[in-house]
Amino acid sequence: MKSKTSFFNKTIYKKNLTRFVAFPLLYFAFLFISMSCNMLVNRLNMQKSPDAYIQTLKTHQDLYEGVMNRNVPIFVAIYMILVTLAVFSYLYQRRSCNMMHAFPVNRKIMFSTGIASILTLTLLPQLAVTLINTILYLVFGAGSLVWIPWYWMLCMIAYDLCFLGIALFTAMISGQLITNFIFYWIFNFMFMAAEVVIRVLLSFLCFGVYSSDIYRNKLLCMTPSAYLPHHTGIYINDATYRIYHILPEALPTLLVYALVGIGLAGLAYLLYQHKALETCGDFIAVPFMKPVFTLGMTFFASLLATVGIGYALTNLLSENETVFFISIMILCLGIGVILYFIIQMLIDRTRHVWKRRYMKYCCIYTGVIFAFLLCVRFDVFGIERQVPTASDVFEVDMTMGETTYALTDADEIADFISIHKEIINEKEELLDYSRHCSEPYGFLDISYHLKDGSSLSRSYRLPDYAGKSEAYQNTCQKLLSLFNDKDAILTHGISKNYAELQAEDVTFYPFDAPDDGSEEKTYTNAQLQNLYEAFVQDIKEGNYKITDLDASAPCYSDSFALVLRSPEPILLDRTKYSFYYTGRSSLSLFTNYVSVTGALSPVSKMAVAEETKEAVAANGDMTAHLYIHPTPDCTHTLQAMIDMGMITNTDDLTLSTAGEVYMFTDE
Amino acid sequence: MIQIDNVSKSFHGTQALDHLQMHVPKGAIYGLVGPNGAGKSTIIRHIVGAYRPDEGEILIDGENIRENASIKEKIAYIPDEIFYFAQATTLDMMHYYKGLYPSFDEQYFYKICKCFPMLNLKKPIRSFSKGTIKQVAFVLALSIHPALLVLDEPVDGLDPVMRRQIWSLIMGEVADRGTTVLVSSHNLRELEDVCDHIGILSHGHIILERSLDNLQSSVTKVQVAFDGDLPPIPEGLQVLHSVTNGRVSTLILKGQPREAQEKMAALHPLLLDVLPLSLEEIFIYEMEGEHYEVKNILF
Repeated sequence: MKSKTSFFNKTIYKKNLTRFVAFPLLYFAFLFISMSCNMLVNRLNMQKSPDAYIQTLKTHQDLYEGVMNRNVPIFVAIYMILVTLAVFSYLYQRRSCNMMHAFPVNRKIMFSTGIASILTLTLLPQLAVTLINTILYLVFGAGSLVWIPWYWMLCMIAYDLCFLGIALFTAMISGQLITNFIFYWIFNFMFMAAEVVIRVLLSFLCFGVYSSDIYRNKLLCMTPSAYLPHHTGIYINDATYRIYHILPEALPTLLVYALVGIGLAGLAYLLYQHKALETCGDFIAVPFMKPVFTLGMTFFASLLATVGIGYALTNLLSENETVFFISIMILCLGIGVILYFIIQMLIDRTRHVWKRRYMKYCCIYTGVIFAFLLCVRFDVFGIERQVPTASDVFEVDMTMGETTYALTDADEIADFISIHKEIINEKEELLDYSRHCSEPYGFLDISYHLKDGSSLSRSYRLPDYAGKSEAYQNTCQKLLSLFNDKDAILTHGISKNYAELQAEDVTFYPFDAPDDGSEEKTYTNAQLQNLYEAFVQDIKEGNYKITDLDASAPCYSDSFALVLRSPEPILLDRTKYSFYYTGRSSLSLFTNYVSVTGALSPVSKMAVAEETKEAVAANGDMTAHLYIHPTPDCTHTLQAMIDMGMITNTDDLTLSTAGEVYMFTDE
Repeated sequence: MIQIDNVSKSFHGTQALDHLQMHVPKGAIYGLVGPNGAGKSTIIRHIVGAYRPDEGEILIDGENIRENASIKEKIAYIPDEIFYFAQATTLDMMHYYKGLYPSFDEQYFYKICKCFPMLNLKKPIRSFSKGTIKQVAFVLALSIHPALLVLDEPVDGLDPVMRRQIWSLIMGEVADRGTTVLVSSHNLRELEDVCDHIGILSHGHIILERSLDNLQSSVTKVQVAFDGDLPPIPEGLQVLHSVTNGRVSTLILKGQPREAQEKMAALHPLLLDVLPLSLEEIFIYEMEGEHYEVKNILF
């Protein structure tokens, strides 16, 4: 009997629930086993180990993880597309499509009843598991944390709405079941994938941009599966596991994504109202999306294919940037034209796509990508020249070799930025070394952490400055002055409290030593401390260089590693950001909770910064490790090595050059 | 009952319906005929509200069918390719129809199921033969007691006994409730026993639409023989077709049979017979009179 409510049909709703009951049952089984059963079994096992059990009772970390380990949007995304495909499957077969629309229900009712069915099939198992988890929390004495399962449920509701909106939108755009499925995943990941591909392409074509930058997804917010785990989790203090906070941006983020999902559902409804049912079985059911899809996919797919082949060509064509660029251009255009017509064949379901109209679009595509590549190559978009202003920078991390300095002083940052700009200005001289360098070179890696929470990274190969232009030599000297500054080496390279450190061990690595360890010796604490203090003295007198770009500079191939103990935890300058820039990939879809990550919003970063700093201060590392290649100028260090019997005299050492010891070469 | 005004529809550059005009009177059994690709199924899908025309409108009982659930409640539709839910039984579908159609008569459903003893109500429909699947469709459709029954190639796949049974039930609905029936087919012989209105569809538009009485009264087949040659045909009779074998001539005349017989009798033939015309013959000769390329229309 038709419902009196104008948005709902009970018959269709009941039919959907009975036909697709397997979905919620399987989903419930998955959640129940992976969450509730898992928690129960872990807790029961833990009771067999009294110490561990008592410790667990203090924090209930196992219960927290048992729930939040399943705060993973990608699972919801998978389930949602499957359920949506099932409920709206009638749209993809001609006979069911015609018949369902001949029944006495209008599209408004079919659409809204379909949504009601999908949400019922999704929320019921989630709610059931939440209730079970709540009972478990209470039974296990974690009553104060019972909000955690319900926060998980709130996240699920937001994720459900978000992915439902995307699924409905793609359902109305496509005319086939399989293309709906494909479009759904394209929409979910296209921004992230496009950004990765473009970044990799930029790393081929732009001076200073390297593929390691591909994980700094600025458009991550357009990929809910990857963005949501990092911004809707519950923060726990890694050191103590006692503090549980919902991230400050979590609730607004959930609300925004839920609203986006509702908005997309509304758009899907409009598409459904105007959907021509004769497009059932078509690749794309909405006419205006065809050229968008064709050109968009062609553009993206050709860039992707070019990137893949480009990697292979990198080594073959590495010595001439112009040849490399022309090769990339030809590849991209050629692959693009081929892909364009292949995609057109798929859409029109015919091989006869050699028509004037399609040729016109193909020419447009070719022109666009040609212009795009040229603009990138000649830095029309200003990517290569992009350098932040000093006032916007919170911290800049500069790395040469194995040494990283973090500058936070405004003047130091400004000085460094001017050096960076000089390097950019020397692009013409340095470009041909970017991909292949037959002479010794060093890497300069730069990461700017801005006050708005964003970051900018660059990496340059800096060849041996001997024989290069005067401008380049001056730039190298300025850079090396920064790195080899006495105070910088002491405070950044060792520690701020370098004067308080006590040497407790050393390992000598002679260049021509046998591998059987027969030359290992032991030293007294006094000898070790003497060695360390001699090294510090050399630094103060400017005898030691932590890095160099003069390949001919003399340097010993032998080295030693000093272990230094601090009376209190060592705090590096990078404390505030070093834990946030851990290199953790923001492509991770399976993050289940947040401690500290590189993808946190500025709000969260600042909110946890002080807490983490305190935790690190309470539990930080008490030792520092120094790896030292002495130079002939390090007279105090060499003497100390002789005095302690590490070497007989300097003849025991192997004299080499900086180019051999800590510079790179591609030969 | 059904009024289609100036409806056009194109698919992927092909004009499927071309300013189609069609009228199905209330209570009529309207046969829509045409060759493959003429647009029969397309116009039917428009009538049941599945498709939307590019231009024109379709009125059922004076109301636009588009997104009109109240009108659709009065329409039962049996397509050429019938849809049922996967693993659904006849009973499942009965409950579904009962939920959607307020006029669904469950008692009538069980009553007419008895006319189909091979029909197992609890077995999945997909396990049935093609003919049995169609039987289920008819049982469900007739149980709605629709005001309009739309059938697309309805008895295709049914054995002659079952066909008769189905048509008998449909006629019963027509007689009892004044149901309007629109049936599409490419087989005139099948329709001539049941339809009282015919519409011929070709290349997306109706080229001829008449009641069967009108058709039959407008064309006459006579067989005449004269002593000598065939004399001139009297005024008022148009010869659509003529075949002479010796002295015997078979003439297809445009005009009413009685009038044609009287006028031909006035010529004092040796032999004069008025012969029955099949629907197919009527249309062939009618189309020739309309100067259509008959081979492009008929089958």
